[in-house]
Amino acid sequence: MNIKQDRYQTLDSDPSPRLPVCFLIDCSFSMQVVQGGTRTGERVARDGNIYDVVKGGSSPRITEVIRGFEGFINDILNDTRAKSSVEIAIVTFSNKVAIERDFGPVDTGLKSLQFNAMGDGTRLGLAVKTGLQMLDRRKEDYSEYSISYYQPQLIILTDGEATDKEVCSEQARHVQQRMQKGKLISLPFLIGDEKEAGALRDFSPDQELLRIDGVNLVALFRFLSQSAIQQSRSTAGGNESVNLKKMIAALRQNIVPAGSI
Amino acid sequence: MKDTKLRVAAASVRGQSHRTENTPCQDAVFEERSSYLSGVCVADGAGSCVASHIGARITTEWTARYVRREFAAMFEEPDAGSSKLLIDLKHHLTSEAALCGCKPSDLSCTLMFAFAETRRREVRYLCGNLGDGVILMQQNGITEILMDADNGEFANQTWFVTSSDANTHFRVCTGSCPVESLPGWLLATDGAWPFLYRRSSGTVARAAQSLLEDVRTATPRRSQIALSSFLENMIIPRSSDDCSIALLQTIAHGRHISRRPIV
Repeated sequence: MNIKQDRYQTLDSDPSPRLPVCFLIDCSFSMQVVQGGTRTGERVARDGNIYDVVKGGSSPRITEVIRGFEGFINDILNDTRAKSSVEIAIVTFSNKVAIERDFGPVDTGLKSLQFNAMGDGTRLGLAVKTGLQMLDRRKEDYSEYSISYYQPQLIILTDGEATDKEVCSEQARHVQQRMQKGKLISLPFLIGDEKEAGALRDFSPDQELLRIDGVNLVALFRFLSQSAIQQSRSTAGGNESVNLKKMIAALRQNIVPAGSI
Repeated sequence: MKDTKLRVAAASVRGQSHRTENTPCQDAVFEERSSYLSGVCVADGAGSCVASHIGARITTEWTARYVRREFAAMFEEPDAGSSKLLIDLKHHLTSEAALCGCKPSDLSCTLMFAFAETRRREVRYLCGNLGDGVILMQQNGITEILMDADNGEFANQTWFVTSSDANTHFRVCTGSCPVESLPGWLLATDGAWPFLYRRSSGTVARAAQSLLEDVRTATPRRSQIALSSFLENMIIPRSSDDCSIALLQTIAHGRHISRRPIV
């Protein structure tokens, strides 16, 4: 599913400031879970869990992610400044971590991306490590081409507890350090109603956990695109940590239910 | 002294995003001309401030007149002169903000200027830069960076005339060079300079050299048209931001003007 593209494409011809946004998307089997539906009586054992097979119900979480992501891309393409600024990278993770798309400009081809949520395990730590490495490498590209950039965004979407806890703890320290220095905006979202957030909380500002219902994912992506558009228009004098707090507050008010976990 | 003159050209063009949103260009340029002392002033209004386009216009006009008046004093004592300029500018913006019914911070903008004075055998210059614009200088036909952009790690981190620590980041440089070196200066806002100057290697694009040469060799009207056309046709299609360029050039009067078409 990798979309091959030249990572230097447009850097030479378009010196607009860039906003790198790295999506880390959980593609473990649990992302196939739906809300509601009628049990068929059939059961499936995957990834240490047993799932009831149902007919009907809401769309699977991963389908909502794809729908939401398509809306995100449309929003960015419809904004002149964001279109030339926002650069997207996508990393999927389950028992393995895959770079689906390295950093590059937003184009219509991104709308046809599909994610297969069939994997076992949730290697969140390795995914974060990969995302941070990609962000660092992209910042080096920007420097090489004398392109200025905005505070990078790391967006994590998962519905389960990490299975690589040691790597997670180590990466959480890196993420927190970067956030404290104002060098990264990290927004982890727990999809669904899992009781335990586990290590995910450590990737969020002030260890706040943002929980999102599977059916609200499209709204979440709409919020994320608006945040990216706003950030790509932001100019000097703004205090990024305040912006991040505002962003979280707006999320809590509009999409993520208050007091979750 | 009679043979040496200064010539200026400056233009601002509204960026694609402001055209789409039908909002004003937040950059402003202003020229000051007199017999032996001329200069240009450029400001880039803060995108997040509602009246920054007004702030940029007020700042360029006020600063250009101030520097013209205080050139000698600022040339002798640039540090003290620049501090006083900022203090007086902030006072002026405060009173203008009251008239506009807004806060002084709503008028936030960056600031650049280049002024030159022709003397018998030399040209004295005074340049100032606060924020993320760049100033290039040409001498003996070679164009190099004189004052680089001052911003933080991120694109939305720079300093404005209204910033509390503006004085710390306001850089002023003075110098003098022989008239024969035909010095020229190019000031560009962050919407334009990435097309003219590669920061990582310090390379200046040939376009910058050409723009400065055009001011020297073409008539004032033609060089002004060429500059506006360059911004509109070469930069705006590739940039979403507002773009401004101002040029200040020395000419040995009567020896350089040509009416050839500008390519």
